[in-house]
Amino acid sequence: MAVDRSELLAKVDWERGEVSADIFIDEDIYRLELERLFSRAWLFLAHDTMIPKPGDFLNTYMGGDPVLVARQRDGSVKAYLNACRHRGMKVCRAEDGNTKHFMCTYHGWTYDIAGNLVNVPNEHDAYHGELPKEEFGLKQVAQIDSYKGLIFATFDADAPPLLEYLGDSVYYIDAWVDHVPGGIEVLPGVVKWTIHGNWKIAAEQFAGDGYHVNVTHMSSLAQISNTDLYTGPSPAGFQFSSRLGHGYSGIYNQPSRFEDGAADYRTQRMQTAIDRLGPERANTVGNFTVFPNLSGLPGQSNLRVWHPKGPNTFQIWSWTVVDRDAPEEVKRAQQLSSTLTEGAAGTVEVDDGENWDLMGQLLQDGYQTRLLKWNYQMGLGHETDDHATLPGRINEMYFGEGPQRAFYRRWLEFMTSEKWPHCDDFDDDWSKKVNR
Amino acid sequence: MTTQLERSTAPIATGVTMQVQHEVEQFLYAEAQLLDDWRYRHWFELMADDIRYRAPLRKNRLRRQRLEDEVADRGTEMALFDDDKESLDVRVMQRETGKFWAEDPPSRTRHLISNVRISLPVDSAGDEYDVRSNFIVYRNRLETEVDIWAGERFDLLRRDGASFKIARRTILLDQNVVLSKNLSVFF
Ligand code: FES
Ligand SMILES: [Fe+2]
Repeated sequence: MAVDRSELLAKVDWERGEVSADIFIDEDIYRLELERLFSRAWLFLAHDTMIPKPGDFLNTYMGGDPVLVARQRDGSVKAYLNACRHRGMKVCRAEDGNTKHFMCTYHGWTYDIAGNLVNVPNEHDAYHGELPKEEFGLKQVAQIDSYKGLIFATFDADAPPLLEYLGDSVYYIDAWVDHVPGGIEVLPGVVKWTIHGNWKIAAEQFAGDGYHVNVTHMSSLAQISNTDLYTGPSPAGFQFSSRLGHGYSGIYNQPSRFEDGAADYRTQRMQTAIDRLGPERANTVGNFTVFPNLSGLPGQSNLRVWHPKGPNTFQIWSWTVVDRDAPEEVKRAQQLSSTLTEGAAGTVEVDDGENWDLMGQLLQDGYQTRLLKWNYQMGLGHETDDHATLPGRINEMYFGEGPQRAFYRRWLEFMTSEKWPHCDDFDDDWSKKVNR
Repeated sequence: MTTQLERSTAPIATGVTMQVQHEVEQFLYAEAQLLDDWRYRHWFELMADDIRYRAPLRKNRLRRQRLEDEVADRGTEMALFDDDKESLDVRVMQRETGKFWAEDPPSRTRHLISNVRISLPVDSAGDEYDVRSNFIVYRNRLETEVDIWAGERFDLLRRDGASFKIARRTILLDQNVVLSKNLSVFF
């Protein structure tokens, strides 16, 4: 192993809230992430509504690897590596669609939507009928499962079941996928763009960094708020950190951006959600990360994955989520609102791109910049594991860096473990609590 | 009914004089200059009240793609831009706050507009033109950052005294995954 275990431990001191900038740029650490993190963790693939019909498929990535996700005739979903078993060519280059099979355009090996190798040119003459086709299907993920429409998979057969992996975060995930009886639907169209920076910066920010919002997004927030954002107090809300690396930060009682019919609908649906879930979860907008690279903005109807593309490049794949049973004009209002604020040209997101890209450039070019220990001490020691109603480790304030500390603690466990890092292998009070 | 696509690919676009061609081209050049000179409010004033400013996603699909599909309205499908006059105004106001860090210090941009093809919309009273143009937008930011975006615009221009208003703009950006950190520019 090119990266020494003790070296990694020295770089990530989550207990004191210090993380070495090096982990955001080092090539060896990145390769180790592909192996130990992205090939082990449960990764988000799709929402059920993206591939509703048999034969519907989409192309995505698990870590650096291209993966096809396809709805089967029996309604189940399969996912497999989008790489031919003959010479490793990509067997499907469309981003989504509906099909019965995928023909590799190199030599013509053809796979059905379950990933089985079903046709090989010259099978009977050149291969003399001796090719064991059943052994050369597309490489399947080791496990695939879904939670309330969110489909996840892992390449590791030793990973615990999905529900155990999500753990205490499902309490919060419910607040944006199961807040109304009809559930959610993902609007068509994935907005994809490229940041020349490290994927973890984005993942940790969505887990816990509400702190940046008032400053980074001053220009877009200034239009909806007249208060002095720079000197304002932390908004009322809370932060959730999971022992499993997930994080959520929510603000209470956010005013709606919407007008007329859409505003009325949202008021009503908020009441429904409060009745179903209680006010703490239902009446918040915020930002979350499901470890390691699924994030979203509950309340602003956004879902996204940070696809790593090297130590200093990642792509953002961003979807807009609406209530499935919402009237068409409410969906349209959400679509327009999300297009204005989110995405590559979103008035809010353009400022995040400026930060992440420039931080990446500093690490790319520098030496001293890589030696810095970044500070993650906000709210350290001011969290409780025994909140009356909310599961997980709770900070009773929107600003804090607990979720980031939990993220890097879990990252370190994945990166330094020879086998799948079950929490109860780590002897600490918090693990005992989670696993009791 | 013929579409804008069919009319503007006809070998000789009927009903469009050299004078009109000249006026439209000069208008597009002047518009581009406003953007490159950071005069966004002035640029915004060229928009008609019913402007729809839209940049659909460019998808990689299995079946043979038809350009009409690329330009067509696709219901609730997400887009890079989908603005009316009010939301375009929000984008321009953001630039006026003095706190728009993504563009402060401002990027240097250069809008190169070419291949201007004009046709008359079927149902026009003679004061509107369908205009297709190609663009390359070069952005240079801070010390060394460079982005180059190429694409095509489908505009509806409406006569407004001696000038025009832009009543519709559909932008086909020639990228699937946007290759830059943001699109804090107008096309
Ligand atoms: S690489 Fe796919 S058929 Fe040869
Ligand atoms: Fe942000």
